[in-house]
Amino acid sequence: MKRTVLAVITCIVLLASFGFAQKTLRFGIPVDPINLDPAQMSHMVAHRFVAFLYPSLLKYDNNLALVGDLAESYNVIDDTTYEFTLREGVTFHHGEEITSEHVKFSIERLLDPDVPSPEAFELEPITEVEIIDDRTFRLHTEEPFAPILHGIAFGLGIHSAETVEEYGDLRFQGSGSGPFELVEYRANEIVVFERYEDYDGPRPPLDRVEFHVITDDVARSTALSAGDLDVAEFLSPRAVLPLRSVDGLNVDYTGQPSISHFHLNTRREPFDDVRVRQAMSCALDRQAIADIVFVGDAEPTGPVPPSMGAWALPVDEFECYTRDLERSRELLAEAGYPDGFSSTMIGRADNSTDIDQLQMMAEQFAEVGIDMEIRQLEWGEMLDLWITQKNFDTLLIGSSTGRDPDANFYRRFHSESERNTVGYNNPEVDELMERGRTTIDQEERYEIYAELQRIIANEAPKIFTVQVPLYHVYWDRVQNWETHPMGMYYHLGQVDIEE
Amino acid sequence: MLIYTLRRFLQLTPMLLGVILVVMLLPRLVPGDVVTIMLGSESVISPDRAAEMRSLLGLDRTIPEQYWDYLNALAQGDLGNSLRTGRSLGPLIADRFILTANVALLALMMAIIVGIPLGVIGARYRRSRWSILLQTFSLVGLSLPTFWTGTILLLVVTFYLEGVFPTIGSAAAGAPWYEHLRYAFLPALTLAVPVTAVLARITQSAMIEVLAQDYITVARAKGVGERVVIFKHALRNSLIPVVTELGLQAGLILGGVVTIELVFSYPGVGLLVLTAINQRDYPILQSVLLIVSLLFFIINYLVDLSYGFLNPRITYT
Repeated sequence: MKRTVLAVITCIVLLASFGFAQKTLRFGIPVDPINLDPAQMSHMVAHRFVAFLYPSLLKYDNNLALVGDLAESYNVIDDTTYEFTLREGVTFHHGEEITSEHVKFSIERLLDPDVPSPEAFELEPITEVEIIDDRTFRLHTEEPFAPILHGIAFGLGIHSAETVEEYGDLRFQGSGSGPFELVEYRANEIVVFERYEDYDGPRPPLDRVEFHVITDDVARSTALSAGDLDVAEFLSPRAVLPLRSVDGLNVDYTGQPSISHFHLNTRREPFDDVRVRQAMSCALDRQAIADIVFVGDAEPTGPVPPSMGAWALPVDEFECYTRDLERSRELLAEAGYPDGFSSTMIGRADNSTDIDQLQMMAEQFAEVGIDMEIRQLEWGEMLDLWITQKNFDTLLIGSSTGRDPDANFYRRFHSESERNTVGYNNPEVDELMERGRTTIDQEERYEIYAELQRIIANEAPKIFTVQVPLYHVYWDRVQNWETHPMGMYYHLGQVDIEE
Repeated sequence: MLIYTLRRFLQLTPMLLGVILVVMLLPRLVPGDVVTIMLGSESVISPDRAAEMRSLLGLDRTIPEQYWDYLNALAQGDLGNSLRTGRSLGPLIADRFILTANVALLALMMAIIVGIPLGVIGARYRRSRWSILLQTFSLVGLSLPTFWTGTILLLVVTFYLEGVFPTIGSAAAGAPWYEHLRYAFLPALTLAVPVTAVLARITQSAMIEVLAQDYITVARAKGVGERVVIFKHALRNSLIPVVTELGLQAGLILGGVVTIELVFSYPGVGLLVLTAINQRDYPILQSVLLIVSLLFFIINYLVDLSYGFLNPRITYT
C-alpha cells in the first residue's frame, strides 16, 4: 500500500514537473531598447524589438532582401502606388484580426505630428493609405520615392487603435502580432516575452524569451560562461576572444550594415580643405585596423558596407582607400601643411573597440606628421558636442547604415539635413541624392549610388574605415540559432532549447 | 535624550535642503540631457521637436523653478517620475532599495561576524603568528579594489562552483528567502572583504589598548577567567571606535554597491543610479541620493545612541 502511494506521488510530481518545465531562452543584450512604441523607435535595438513584437508588412531575409511578413504579396502599380495584400487570419495578441484598417492606423499614427517619430522620414512621403477591402490596400506617394519599401520593413510596426486606447503609453507594454507576446519590460533590466498560443505560423518551441540588459561586457560574458545566459550579443571583438575557447560555446558573427565613421568637421580648419581630408584618408591602413583591432572579423569599407551586396563598390575603386603615405604627404604639402598639423579626435569612452581603433589611427596619422590627440568622452557628453552643438574637430563612431543606400547618404550628407553633422555642402551631391530617392529604376539607382560613393570617398567629409561585426555567442543546447545580419530577432520563433 | 534626538533632527533640515540643492545642480552641470541621449545619433528629428520633448519633461524651466517644484512635490511625499520612462519613482526605488539592503546588510553581517573575532584573536595573541597573519589579511583585504575582487569571485564561481551562485540579476519578487540570499551572497562577500579587514584592524588596536589598562590586570589578578576578561571587560570597552567605524563603513558600502552591482548585474539601487547618470535621468538621481544621505544620517545617529549603551558614562544632552 505504502509503496503504491509512493509510486503515485512520484508519478504526479514527475508529471507536474514535466508539465511545468518551461523552455526559456535567456538572451543577454548590451543595450536597453529604451522604447517599444512602434511609432517612436530611435535606434537599432528598438527596431529589433519592435519588429519582433509588431511585425510589419515586409521583413529582411538573411541576405537582406525584402520578403513578405504580414503582407502575403505586393505589387508596384506605378511609380507612386503600391498595392499590398495581407495574410489571412493573422491576429493581434488581444485576439483582433489584422485588417487594412490597422495598417492605415499604424502609418497615420507614425506620421502624426503629435507623436514624436524619430525614424518617420522613410515613410513621410506616403500621402494616402487607400483601403480596397479588409485585406487589400494601396499606398500612395506624391512623388516617386524609392526607399519606401525599406521604410516599411524597417520603420513600421502594425498595431491597433484598441491597443493604443487600452494602454495609452506603448513604450513599455503593448499587443502586437509576433510569435511571442510582451509580458514585462523593466527599463534597463529585462524584457520578457511568452509564446502567443494563437500565432498563425508554426508553433514556436520556446515558452518564454527573456532579454537581460547587461551593459558591461565582462558581466555579460561571465553570465554566459556560467550558464546563466543561453545566448549573448557582443559588439566588441575583445570581449568575445576568451569565449571562443570555451567548450560548448559557439561564436557567430555577421558583418552588419554598420560602419565606423570618422567624421571630419568641414566647417573648421584644416578640415575645410579637401586635400587635408584626402591626405588623412590616404594615411590610413584600413586592413591593419580590421586585422588587429577587429581580430580579422571586420572588412574595410567605403561609404556603403559590403553587407549591402550589389550596392557596395569594392574598396579598391576609391581614391585613397589603399594606404599611400607618399600621396598623403604630397597632399598635405599642397594644402600648406608640409609638416603636418595637430588636432583632436573624439571617441566614445565606453566603447573599447572605438578607442583601440582611434589609437591605431593616431599612430598611422603620426607617420605623415599629423598629431591627433584622443579625447575619450562619456556618451551623453559626446552626443551633446557632436549632435547638438556640432562642436568637434574629428570624431569616430560606429553607426548602422541603411537598408536602402538612401539612408547612408541623404540624412548624413544633404546640405539641409539636421544630421549632416560634418557640415558637408556639395550641390552636385545634393542633386544626386535627390535623384537617387525619386528614381525607381534599379539599374539607374545603382549608377547614381556608385557615383555618390565615389564622390563621398574622394572628398572625404567622413572617412570610412571598417564594417563593424555583430557577435552572437550561444551554447550548444540552443538549437536552430541564426544570426541575422541586422541582429533582428525574426528567427526566435524557430529556436529551441535542449533541457 | 529626547532633546538630543530633537536637536539632531532639527540639524537634519538644513542639511537635507543643501543635499537636495547639490543633487539637483551637479547632474545638470554635465553636458547632454535625457532627450539627446534618448534620440541617440540615428534619429532624424527637428530641433523644434526635440525642444518640445524637453518642455514636456519640464527641462526648459529654470533651475530655481525646478528646485522649487521638486521641494513642493517632496513635501507631498512625491519623489517624481523618471524622465526616461515616465513612471512613478516611489515603487521603483523601494523595490531596488530592498535588493540593495539585502546585499548591504549581509555584507555588514559577514564583516561583523568575521572581523571582530579576528581582531580579538589578533589582540589576545599579539606578537604571535596569528597576529602577523591577521595583519597580512587586513592589508591585502584593504588593498584589493572591490571591482577586482568581484570579478575574480565571478570567475571562480563560473569555473569551479558552476550553478551554486547566480552571476547575474536578482531573485524574483516572490521567491523564498534563501533564493534572495543566494543572489545577494557574492556581491555581499565582495563588499565584506575590505570592511572585515578594517573592522579586524580597529578591533585589534582598540583591544590591545584596553587589555593594557589597569582594571584588566586587576580582573586577572582577582582570578577572573580569561574568557570573561576578554569578552566582558575588554571587548565591550573597545567597541566604541569599532561601532563608529562601522557607521562610516555602512556609508562606504552604500557607495560601493554602485560598482559591485554593475559587476554582478544586480539590479539594486547602485545600478539604478549608474544608469540614471548615463541617461541623465535627474529625478532618479535626486531621489536616490537624497534617500542615501538620509540613511547615512540615520545610521550615524544610531551609532551615536549606541555609545550610551556601550559606555553608560556617556549621556546625551
